Amino acid sequence: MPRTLSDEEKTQVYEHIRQFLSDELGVPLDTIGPETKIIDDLGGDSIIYLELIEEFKKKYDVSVEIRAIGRYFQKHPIRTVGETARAVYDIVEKGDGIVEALD
Amino acid sequence: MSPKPRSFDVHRLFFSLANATRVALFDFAAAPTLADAVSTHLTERERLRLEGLGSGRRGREWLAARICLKESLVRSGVIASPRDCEVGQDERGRPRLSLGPEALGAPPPDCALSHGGRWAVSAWTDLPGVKVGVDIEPRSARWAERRRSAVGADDDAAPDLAPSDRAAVLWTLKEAAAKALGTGLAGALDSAVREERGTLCRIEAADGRRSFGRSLIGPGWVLAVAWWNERSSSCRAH
Repeated sequence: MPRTLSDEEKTQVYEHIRQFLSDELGVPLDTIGPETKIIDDLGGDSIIYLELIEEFKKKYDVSVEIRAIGRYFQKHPIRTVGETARAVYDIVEKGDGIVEALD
Repeated sequence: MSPKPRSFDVHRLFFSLANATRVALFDFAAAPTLADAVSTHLTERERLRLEGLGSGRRGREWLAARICLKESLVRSGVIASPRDCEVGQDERGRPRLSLGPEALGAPPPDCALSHGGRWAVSAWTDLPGVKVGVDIEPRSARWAERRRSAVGADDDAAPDLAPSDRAAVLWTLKEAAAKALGTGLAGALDSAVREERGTLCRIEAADGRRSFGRSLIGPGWVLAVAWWNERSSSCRAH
């Protein structure tokens, strides 16, 4: 269900993403910052994004059609860790309303 | 004198009705070493690019994908030696092949590369106006968890497969189509796969463009190839 994330929860989301990328891609945690590019700098791929989306949809019990997420990513490219964290905030907070929020 | 190129164990995969596309698979984890290929398979620019990626996992995957493509081109007689071509990138990030002067002005084939787990895969076609995309993913139980993010409500294909295999098949088809179209992750997510006839699938992009693709499940991997005809805005297998 869509909700508003507190600053503390947003920090938790960001840290969760860093830890997830560190574990999955075998990259030291302290080398991952908001400007780190997930594909170019860390060697991630589309599957990493799929798993991140799934992780947060499950954690926050959010139901969003994947095509809506695709439309959102078209307008808000998610190259860096910081951009990915902002996308997760939007997905969790707006749920299926994420596409309407683009207009 | 250049060293004689070492031959790698690259296998051609046969896709029926595949628009004259050559698809090759390379189990690079089984190769004793890829290091020889740096001097025998890469151009100077490619070597510099590899140096930037390092000798770890990323560099090895990058190199394996290029070995796979170049070996396929050599075996098909498009080039005589792996260094007679160079794989660059176009403005949308798609791989772009340049052929050396020996190719006598022939237009370079359109090509696509992918790697996943221990495998690299390449696809190329010289059909005018046809863009090709390819994707390979390890076949694993993790696809059951990724299912909700890989399969959308509009997807209508491969209904008889187990849920984890279906998710892998549909996602690789979407990724392959997005690579053919140059639309990236956003394009893959915002697309739908529908059964066309037999094992041929139609992948519908958000902007109305349609590509066609086939998938194949092998021992430990799932891969898909997709084609898009930029001249007709869709591409039918023939």
